[in-house]
Amino acid sequence: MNVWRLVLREILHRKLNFAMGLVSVAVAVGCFVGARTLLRADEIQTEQAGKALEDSMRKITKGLGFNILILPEDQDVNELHTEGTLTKSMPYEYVERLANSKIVTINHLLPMVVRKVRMAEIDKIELPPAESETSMYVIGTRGEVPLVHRDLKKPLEDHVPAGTMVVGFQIGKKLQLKPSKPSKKKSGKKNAQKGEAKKAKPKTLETVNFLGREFKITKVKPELGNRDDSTIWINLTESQELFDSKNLVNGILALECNCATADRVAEIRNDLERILPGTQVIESGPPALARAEARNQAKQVAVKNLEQHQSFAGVLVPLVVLGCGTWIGLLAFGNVRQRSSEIGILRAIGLRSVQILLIFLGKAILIGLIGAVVGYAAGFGFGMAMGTLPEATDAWSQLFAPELLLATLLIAPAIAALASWIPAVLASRQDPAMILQAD
Amino acid sequence: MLLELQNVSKTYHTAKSDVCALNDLTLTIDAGQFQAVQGPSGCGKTTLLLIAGGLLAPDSGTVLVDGTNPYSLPPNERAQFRASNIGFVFQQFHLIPYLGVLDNVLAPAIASGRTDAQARAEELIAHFGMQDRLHHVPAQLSTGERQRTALARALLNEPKVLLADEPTGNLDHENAAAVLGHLKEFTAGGGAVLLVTHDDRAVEYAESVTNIDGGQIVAPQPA
Ligand SMILES: Nc1ncnc2c1ncn2[C@@H]1O[C@H](COP(=O)(O)OP(=O)(O)O)[C@@H](O)[C@H]1O
Ligand SMILES: [Mg+2]
Repeated sequence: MNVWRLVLREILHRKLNFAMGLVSVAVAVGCFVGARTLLRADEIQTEQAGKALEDSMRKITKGLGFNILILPEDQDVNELHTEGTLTKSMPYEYVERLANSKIVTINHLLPMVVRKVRMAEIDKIELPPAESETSMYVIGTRGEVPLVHRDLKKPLEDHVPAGTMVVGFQIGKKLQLKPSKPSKKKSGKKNAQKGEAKKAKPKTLETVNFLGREFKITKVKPELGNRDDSTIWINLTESQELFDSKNLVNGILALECNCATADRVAEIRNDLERILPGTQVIESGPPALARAEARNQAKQVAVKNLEQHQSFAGVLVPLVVLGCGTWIGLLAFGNVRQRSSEIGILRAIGLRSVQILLIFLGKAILIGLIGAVVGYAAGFGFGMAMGTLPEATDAWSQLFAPELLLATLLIAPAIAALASWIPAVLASRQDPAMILQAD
Repeated sequence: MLLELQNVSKTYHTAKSDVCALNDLTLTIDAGQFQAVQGPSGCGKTTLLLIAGGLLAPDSGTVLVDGTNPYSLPPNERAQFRASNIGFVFQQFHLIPYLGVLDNVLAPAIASGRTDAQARAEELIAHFGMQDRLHHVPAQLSTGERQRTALARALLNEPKVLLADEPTGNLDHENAAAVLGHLKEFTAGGGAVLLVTHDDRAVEYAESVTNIDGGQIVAPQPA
């Protein structure tokens, strides 16, 4: 015979009292574990949602043109940004080297010659004296250079045949030319340059003289609202002749690049360093900024969500624990009162007061332990059922936290014992004489 | 002397009044002696018993159980002293309601830690004719069986002194006789019994009878 046997027999005898204590602990533990499990699921979910958002953002911005520009190493990029033009050049052979390489991160190679010249160099443009120095961009292009190791893709930009010229909207305006109708073939989903895929027979809209050569204007681009509106495109070879840079290009534009890693420019730089030493790479266009912003936003939303849930759990859980603790204390108090005769006789037959204390604390500890197990199972089950996890996540392995189970197995009995402490001490201090005399 | 009470007095102080339960009472019981104390309700019998049992300190006077004053011991040692030297039997049995007969009889082993408790308990239960009732809880027992269970419990640790407070108060004649017979038997084994009661029948088993009233020993009442 020992105290534990006494505790067990009493529990089995007064099942309701025990069950009420047990349910109370289970509710408290269940709330705690349930909240924690849900929060964990939340965390995973927001994490993944953030990633997904970032991902789709990346795809969208990629569609907008994840473009890079390959420039000679000695080209000052400031010049490009402030003057809109490039003065350093590299051999045309670079494009071919790139096209023949096994590079996968780069698509659509567009070698180009870039210059800034006075608009008045086109004979049919008449400008008021004040605007006589207004300039425009000239881009010499030969269209896409196919990448050898891959299937030939459709050319991204029309090849501008020698002797022809494509002009931007503002240039067209000066020439009193209306923008050409976009071709109806293919959906308009692709970008402007693509949409205007080749026409069967380009009509000559105007014939102009530019830098002493005759050009037939075959197309006026629609208004784009950027520097393209003030640009003219001519044949690459012709531009090389005009600008006295035979077999040289100023840059190679690579459109719609795709990279596996987040830091794609670095990835491309890495690839290019091997193939084209002596060049530099910059990302051209605004998508990088948009993507970074999207990433930050997604993160902020996720964090805010999580914080909200955390503060909710932070209030609810302590309240429930406090309420359940009080309830357990009251139950223990009732139990002590009910058992005063028993306490009296146990003291009379020689049990020490600490043994009486142990009888009540032992019961509380058992209530706490079993309640913790039941509550954990319930709370975890609840969390698993209610927590939304991304598909294809193994909920059990993601959410089951052994340290949480261990913590509840330690903390719940401790709290139950603490809540029962005062009634248990009162019981251990009861005067047996007073009890036994009350016949 | 197994039990000596010398000039013991006890007054209960309540908010309304002071009640003098024992007044300078002296009583001694030898080993093997069955001593009855008789008196009307409220005369101080239970008080006397609790004082003798080391459960209630007297205001004055000394108590010696087998030569030891239990009130000179610190609380834990006094509890231990009770466990090994004194057995109690009450009118209300005070059995533990959720324990079967065997476990009730074994309860004092929690205090004493006796290793042969199980065997001794079974032996006592068999002796009291309740071997087929081992796992019945008190609610399933007759009053006579309950008192015999309480008696077996009191005897588990082989005490020197047995203190019985109206043990037959709730029993019919037959069961009362059985319980009193067992008390007598205990004294035959060298133990001392202090039986406090107002019941005349119980007194017949005792070797000597002391009459008290108002907390003092008085001359025997005329029958
Ligand atoms: N705890 C107590 N507080 C106040 N008075 C008490 C207390 N216990 C007993 N008494 C009083 O002391 C007297 C003796 O009580 P008790 O020893 O129980 O008598 P008996 O057992 O002979 O009936 C009674 O008058 C009773 O009312
Ligand atoms: Mg009494």
